[in-house]
Amino acid sequence: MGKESYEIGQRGEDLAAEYLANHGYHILSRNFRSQQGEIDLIASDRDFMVFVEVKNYSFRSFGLPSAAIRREKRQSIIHAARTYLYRNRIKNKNCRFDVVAIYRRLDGSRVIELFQNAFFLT
Amino acid sequence: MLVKIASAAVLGLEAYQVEIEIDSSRGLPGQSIVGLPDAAVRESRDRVRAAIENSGFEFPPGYFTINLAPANTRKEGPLYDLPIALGMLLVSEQITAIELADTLVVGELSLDGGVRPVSGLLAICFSLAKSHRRILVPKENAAEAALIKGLEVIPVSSLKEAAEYLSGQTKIKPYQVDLEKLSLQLQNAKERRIDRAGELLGSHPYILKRIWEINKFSYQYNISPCENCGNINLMDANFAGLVEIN
Repeated sequence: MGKESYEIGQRGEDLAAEYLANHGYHILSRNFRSQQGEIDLIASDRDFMVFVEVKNYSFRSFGLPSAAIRREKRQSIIHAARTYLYRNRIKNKNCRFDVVAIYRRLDGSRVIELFQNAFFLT
Repeated sequence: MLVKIASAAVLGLEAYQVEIEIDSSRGLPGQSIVGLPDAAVRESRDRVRAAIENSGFEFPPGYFTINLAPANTRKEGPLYDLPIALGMLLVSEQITAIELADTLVVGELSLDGGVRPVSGLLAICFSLAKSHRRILVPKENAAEAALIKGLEVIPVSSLKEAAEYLSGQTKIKPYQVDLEKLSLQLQNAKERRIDRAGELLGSHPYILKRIWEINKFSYQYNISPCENCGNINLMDANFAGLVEIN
């Protein structure tokens, strides 16, 4: 990954963290990595532990963005989530996977969308 | 938290009770179905999710283990959708069941929360009428299920209706058929069919006798006659081992 796209990702995560904090989420960790996975943001929302994937679309060239996440990515997130829960000895807590999609409209205005419960273990 | 709901599986012409156990635990969201489910049963989780959400309930968070006991027989078909969905609502305490004792539940769910008809109900009711008091069936199957005496047949048309019935919010009148009237109708239909078949085949006594036998068996094996000629389908009869097609 080039430096530029890394920065785009970072900016997106900053925006997403701010957005989530405004919506009552409490950010616990950013860019958590396990051996085979990574999660952009980990937060708590009321009773829930929330693992958030941020999708930042810096430009609009492929039509409308979607919150869809490929299976490899899902598995990477799930692996990291398991590791996080294990390392922090979190048990008996309901968890959720959310996706934050950030993109620009054609007129240049920025849109941040939150998809709660975007996917689950299969 | 654990919930058990009784359902049924068909094995040949018989049926046996399948106990659906749903255990919920906190943790990463997901569900697994165990107890030798076939593809149609495993797919039910997607239907159940959509049906619950489209019926005005909330799909509960957490991890669910769904066991179809006895675990050593293969479970086929979509008839466990409704009991699984009701179990999920019970286990997440969105509804409470006061009508669950001695109750069987079968039904396929559509994504909008409606209940679709399933096959094999005659066998299920026949085999389990002695051990159970009541059965929740899809509305389209009610007439079929009510043919067997001894079971209270509760027709439901949607997941919401079934949930409300179980929690005692609404009452549903058990479906009943007039068996005497029905058997008379069947007798008439049978005679008509034989007359018609006799005409077609030239009324040879042997052929008539053979047709009579096949018709008799067709009731036993639930083979329906052709709508136009009144004859039973030879392929069906062949399948049931009644005739040989060369």
